[in-house]
Amino acid sequence: MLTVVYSGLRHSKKTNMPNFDSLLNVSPFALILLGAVFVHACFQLSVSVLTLLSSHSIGRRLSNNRLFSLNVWYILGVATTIAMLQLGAMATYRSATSTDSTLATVVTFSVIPLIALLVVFVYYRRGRGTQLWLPRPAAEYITTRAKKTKSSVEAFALGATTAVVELPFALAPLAIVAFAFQGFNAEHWLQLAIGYALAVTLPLIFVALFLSSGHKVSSVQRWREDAKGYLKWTSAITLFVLMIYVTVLQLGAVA
Amino acid sequence: MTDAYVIKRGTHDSEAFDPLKLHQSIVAACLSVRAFEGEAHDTAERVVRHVISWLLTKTEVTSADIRRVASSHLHTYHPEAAYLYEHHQLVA
Repeated sequence: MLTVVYSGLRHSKKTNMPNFDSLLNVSPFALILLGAVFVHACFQLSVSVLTLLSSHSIGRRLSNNRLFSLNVWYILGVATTIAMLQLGAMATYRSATSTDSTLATVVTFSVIPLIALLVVFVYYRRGRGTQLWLPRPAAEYITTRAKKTKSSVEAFALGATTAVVELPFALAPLAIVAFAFQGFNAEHWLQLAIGYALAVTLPLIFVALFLSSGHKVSSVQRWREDAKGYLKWTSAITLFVLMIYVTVLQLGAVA
Repeated sequence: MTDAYVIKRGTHDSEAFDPLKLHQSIVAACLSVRAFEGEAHDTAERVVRHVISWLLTKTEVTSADIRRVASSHLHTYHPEAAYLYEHHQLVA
């Protein structure tokens, strides 16, 4: 993906950031991408639904191969939707900056700290378990869909739905990547979006492999419960750091 | 057998206690943690017996009460399944 980042920058026509031409100067963009991927991967709704899907599938005595296949289709649904959302965000930024780049900057830098605060105070509900911010009827609907999912198409659609439902929070990392890479040559957008989506789904791939190899759902759930404070704080802090970092790069470019 | 009624979560509808329904949910929890099928049914049968004896003195309980009592007994026989059974509605 670094090669894509580098070649995309070489061919970028117009950017708010400096059009770097040496490999050393690619690192800021790679760091932004890495940070955004980390924040997005910390969001837990897709892992929650994967856990539920696996739990019900194992409860129905599905073979490990069938479980793996369902999980792969689910992850494909999540990854495809994230890639499309990233493409949409980049296109939006490109069209917004072509008319008024100040508006795009102001919107980005007001929304990101707000989402970082929401991650800390709203994302996880208080109390036991790993209940998320979702309204209860929506959470029950997703739980029921996970329980009723039997075919690959249903698993794919469930993954796509999950990625869209997560959007109020996923907007922050998507916006940072779109903002930082707005000057990127359009021919590399698809590669960047696919790379981003695959990197974000790495935890899901790990969980799917872990469960399909015969491990218990309860161990994943226990880990998630233990790590929820850590995930919450690190993702919020990373969002703040990313925002400051992008601001510094912006100011550097202006100066 | 018990004549207790169960008030369902969300809808607040009331229905007669169905031991088979409880049995199936406990079997599903046990199978989810990869217990053997026979072990799952044995465990569920024991837990349902405990719940029925607890219900003998009750006329109306909530489904949350049943889940709490069942999970405390399930914890004795299969702690991993009890954890998943308790946390089923706390995952997402």
